[in-house]
Amino acid sequence: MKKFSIVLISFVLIAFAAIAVQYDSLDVIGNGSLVSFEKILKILPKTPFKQNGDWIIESPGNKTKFVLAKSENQVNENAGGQYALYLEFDIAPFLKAGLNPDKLPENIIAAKNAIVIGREFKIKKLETMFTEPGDTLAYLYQKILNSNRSAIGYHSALDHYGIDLGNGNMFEWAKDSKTNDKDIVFVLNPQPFIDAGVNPEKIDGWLYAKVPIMDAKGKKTEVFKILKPFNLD
Amino acid sequence: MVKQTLSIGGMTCAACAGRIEKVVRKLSGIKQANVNLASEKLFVEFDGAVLSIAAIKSAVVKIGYSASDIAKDGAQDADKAKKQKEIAILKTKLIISAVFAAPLLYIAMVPMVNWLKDLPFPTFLLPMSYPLVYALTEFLLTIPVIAAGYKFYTIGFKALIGRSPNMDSLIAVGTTSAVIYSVYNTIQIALGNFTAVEFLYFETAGVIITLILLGKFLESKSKGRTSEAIKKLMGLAPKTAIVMRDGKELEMLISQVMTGDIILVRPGEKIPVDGIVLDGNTAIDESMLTGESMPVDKKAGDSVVGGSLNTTGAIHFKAVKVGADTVLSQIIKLVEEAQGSKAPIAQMADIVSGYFVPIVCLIALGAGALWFISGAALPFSLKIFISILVIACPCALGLATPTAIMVATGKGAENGILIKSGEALETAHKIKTIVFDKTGTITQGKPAVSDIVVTNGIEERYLLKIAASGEKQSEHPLGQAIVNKADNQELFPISDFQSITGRGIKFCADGKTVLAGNKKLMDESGISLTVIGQDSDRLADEGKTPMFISIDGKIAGIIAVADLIKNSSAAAIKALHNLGIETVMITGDNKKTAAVIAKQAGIDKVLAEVLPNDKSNEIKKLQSGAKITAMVGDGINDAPALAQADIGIAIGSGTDIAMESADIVLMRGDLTDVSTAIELSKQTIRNIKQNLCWAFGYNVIGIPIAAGLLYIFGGPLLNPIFAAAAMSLSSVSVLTNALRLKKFKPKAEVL
Repeated sequence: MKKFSIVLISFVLIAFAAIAVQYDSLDVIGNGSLVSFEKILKILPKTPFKQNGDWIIESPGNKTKFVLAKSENQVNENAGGQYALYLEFDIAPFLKAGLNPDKLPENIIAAKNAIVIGREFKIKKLETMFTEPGDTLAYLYQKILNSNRSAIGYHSALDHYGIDLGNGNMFEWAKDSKTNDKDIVFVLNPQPFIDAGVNPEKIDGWLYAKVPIMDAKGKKTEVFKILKPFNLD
Repeated sequence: MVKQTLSIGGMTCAACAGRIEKVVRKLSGIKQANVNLASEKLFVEFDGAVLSIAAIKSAVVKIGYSASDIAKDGAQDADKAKKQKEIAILKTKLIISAVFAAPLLYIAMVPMVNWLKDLPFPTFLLPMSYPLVYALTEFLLTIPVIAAGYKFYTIGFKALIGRSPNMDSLIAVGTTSAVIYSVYNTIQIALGNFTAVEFLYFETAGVIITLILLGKFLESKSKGRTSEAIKKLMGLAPKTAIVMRDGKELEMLISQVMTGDIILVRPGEKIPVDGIVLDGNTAIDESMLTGESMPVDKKAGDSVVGGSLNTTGAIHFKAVKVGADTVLSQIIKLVEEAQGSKAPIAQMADIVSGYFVPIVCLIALGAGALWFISGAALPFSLKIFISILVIACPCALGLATPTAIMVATGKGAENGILIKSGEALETAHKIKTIVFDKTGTITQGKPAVSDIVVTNGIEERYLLKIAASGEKQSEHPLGQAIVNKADNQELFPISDFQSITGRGIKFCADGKTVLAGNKKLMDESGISLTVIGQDSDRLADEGKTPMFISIDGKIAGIIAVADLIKNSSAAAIKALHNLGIETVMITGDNKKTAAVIAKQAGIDKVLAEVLPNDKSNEIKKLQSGAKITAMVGDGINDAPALAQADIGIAIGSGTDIAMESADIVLMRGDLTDVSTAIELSKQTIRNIKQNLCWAFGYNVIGIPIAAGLLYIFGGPLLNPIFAAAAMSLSSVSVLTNALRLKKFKPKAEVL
C-alpha cells in the first residue's frame, strides 16, 4: 500500500508539473481568443488603423471605437488618453435618454461628443510593446494576453471572447463569426448611467437586456447590460 | 457431516453475502451455508464424503471473493492482526482519497456555491479563464481517489458481468458514468467548446468514493466492536502454563499442555485449562465465564475452568480437558456459531437484498431516460442516474440483522447467557409460557437440613452432632445433608454402625445407642412418636422429609431435610410475571411437595407426578394453543423436553446432554438469567426492527428523492454527493444503533 501510494502521488505530481510546463499551450481561451481576434479584425468593414500611435478598431458607422492607446499620456481629442484600453462611443443617444454628464463617476469620461470608458493597463509595458518591432494589432493583443491574461475572458452565453475593461464593461467579439450574429459587442454596465439619469431602455442604437454571465470562477448569474452588437458578415 | 467456518474477504453488502450463499448452496453435498456479513464469515455444513472444503473455497474465489481458513491456534491474534491490517489499508486509502478529494471539492464548489464565492481561489485555475487547465486539474485530482477506491470497480464490474450486481456495482457504474462524461467534456473543452466546463462531474465521482471509503472505514471500526465479546472470551485463556514435569516447573505454551499434566497456578494468574484441584485452597473468579461476580472457593477435588482467575492461593491441578475440549473453547465455538446463524427476521432482508441492486439499476436507468425524454438536458438526467445509483444502500439492509445478533449474543455471553442461535434469540422474545423443571432448577437440587425439632430435653446442637456422627458413614443423600449441616462440629467416634435398607441407620456414639431414619424404623423399633407427631405432620405438609432420631430408645427429635428453592427462584419467577409470562413447574414429585415448592417460588401452575418420559408430552400440550413455550431444565431427563420446547433453556451447572439439547445455556445457574435472556431478546428484536425500518425507509425515501420527485413539485434536486453522504451514513447509523445493545444491562443488576 505504501509503494502504491508513493507511485500514485508521484504520478499526480509529475502530471501537475507537466501541466505547469505546458500551461500556456493549455490556455485554450487565451489562444482561441487570439485566433478569433485576428479573424474579426479581417472582417471589420474598416481596417483597424493607427492614429497618433494608438490602434483604433471602429465599428460600422464609425460612432463606436475600441482603442488600444500607446500611452496614458497620449491625449486624443476626446480626452480618453488616461486609459490604455477604452471604449469610445457617441454621447448623443445617452443625453437623449436623460444623461446628466455631471453625475457620471470619475472613471467615465463624458467629452463633448463622446463617452470614454476604459481601464489602466500596466501602461508602461504596453507602451514598450508599441515600440517593439512587428507592431501589429494582433501582435499587440498577444502581448496583452501574455502580460494581463486575466483581462481576457469567455462569455459562454454569447459564445464570445472579451476584454474586460473593468466595472462590468467589456469589448467582446465572436468566437466564430460565421455562426454568430453578434460579431462584436460593446458591453456597458448600466448602473452608472442609470445613476446619472439615463433611462437604459431609451438609448437609441443600444440594447438594454438581461444577459446570463459567469464570473471568472464559473458562477452563473444574470445581469442587465447595455449592449451594442454588430453583425459584420 | 462436517461443520466449518471460513473467513470471507471482499464482501461489501448483503448482495455479496447472498451471492456467496447461492453459489455455495448449489454445490453437491452441501447441507447448510450461511454468510455473516458483519463477521465476514461463511458457516458451512457439508457431507465430507461428497464435498471438500477446498471445493467450497474454490467456488467462492471463482465469483470474486477470498476464502480462507480461520486459524485455530492464536486465532485471536491472527484475526486481530488481519482486521487491523484491513483497517489500516482502508485508512490509508481514505487518507489518500480525502487528501485529493478535498481540493477537488474546493475548486469545484467555490465557483458554484454563492456563500463560498468569497473564499480565495487560484487565478490560474479560474474555470471561465482556463477551462482546460481547470478540467485537467480536476481529472488529475480524481485519479488518486479512483485508485484508492479501485476495489469498488474490480469487484463491482466483476459482479455486474456475473449478473449479480452488488453495492460496488452501483458505485462503480455511478462514478464511472460521472468520470466518462467529464472526460468527454474535457475533450470538448480542448476542442473549443468551453461551455463544457459547466458539465464536469469529477468531484462527484471523487467525493462519492471518498465518502463511501469513509463509511466503510467507520463500518469496519464498528464491525470490530460488534465482535468484542468473542475477542474478550478468546483473550481469557493465558498463552502459557506452568506444568510440573519430573518435579520441575516448566513454562510452556498452552497448546503443549496435555491431559493429565499437573499445573501450578499462583495467585493472580489465570487457570490455563480445565481440571481438578489436587492441592491448595483458593478463590477463583469465574465472572468472565459465568457472569457470577463473587469468587468461588476451591479446594482439592473441586473443578476449575480454563480462563478463570485464581485470586488468593496457589494451587496444583490436574488438566482434564485441553485445547478445543475446554469449556472456554466450547463457549467460544457456541457463541461464534450463534453469531454466524441467521434469525428468521433476516430472511426478509435477504430476499429483498437479492433483488435490490438489479431493481435499483433499472430504476436509475428508467428515471434518467424519462427525464431525458421529457426534455431535460443530458447532464441533468445523468445527475439523476448517478444519484439513484449511489443513494441506494443494500449494505444497510445486509447489516441490520447480523450486527444486532452479534452484539446481543456477545452481550449474552458476557452475562453468562449462551444463546446458541439467532433463531433462539429471536424466538425468546415471543415466549408466553415457561416450564421449569423442579429439582436443580427451581430448587438447589441438593437436599439440605431445613428444620430441627428436639424433645425430651435434648439440645438441638447435640442432636445434630450425634446424628451427623452416624450419617457420616451413610451414603444416603439425606444423611449427607445432615453431615453438611454439622460441618463445623467435631463429631463423636461411633461403633456398631448398621445400615437398615429402606429405614435408616443404627449406631453407638457418645456411649448411647442411636437410631436415625424414617417413621417405619421408629415404629418397628417400638419408639413412640406421640410427642412430636404434630411437628412431623406439619413438616410433611411443607414438603419436607422428616428424619427421626432416637437415643437410647426414646425419641430425641426430628431433623427435616428438604430440597430448598434457590435464593433467586422467587425473584426470577416474579420478573417473568412482570414480563407477562405464565410459569409452570413440572416434576415427578408428589403433588403435595410440588405444590409447596411452587407456592414458595410463586409458580402459576404445577404439573406433578409426571414421569420423565412424559415431560416432552406435557410441553407439546402447552404448545398446542400456539403458545410459544420454553422449558428450563438441567438433567438428562429434561433433554427431550428441552428439545421439544420452542426454546430450551439449560442450566449451565447441569448435564452436558441438557446443554446440548438447549437453545440457551445459563452458565451460572441463576434463574434470573431467564428473564435477562428474554429482555435481551426483546431489545435485540426491537433493535433489528429499528435497523430494518431505517434501512428500508432510507431507501424508500431516498430513491424517489434522488429520482427527482421533489424537483417535480418545485423542491430541490438531490446532488449525487449528498446522496453518497447519505448512503454512507445509513450503514454507519445501522451499526451505531446495533452497538447500542452493548449498553444492555440485566435488570437484576440495574436494580
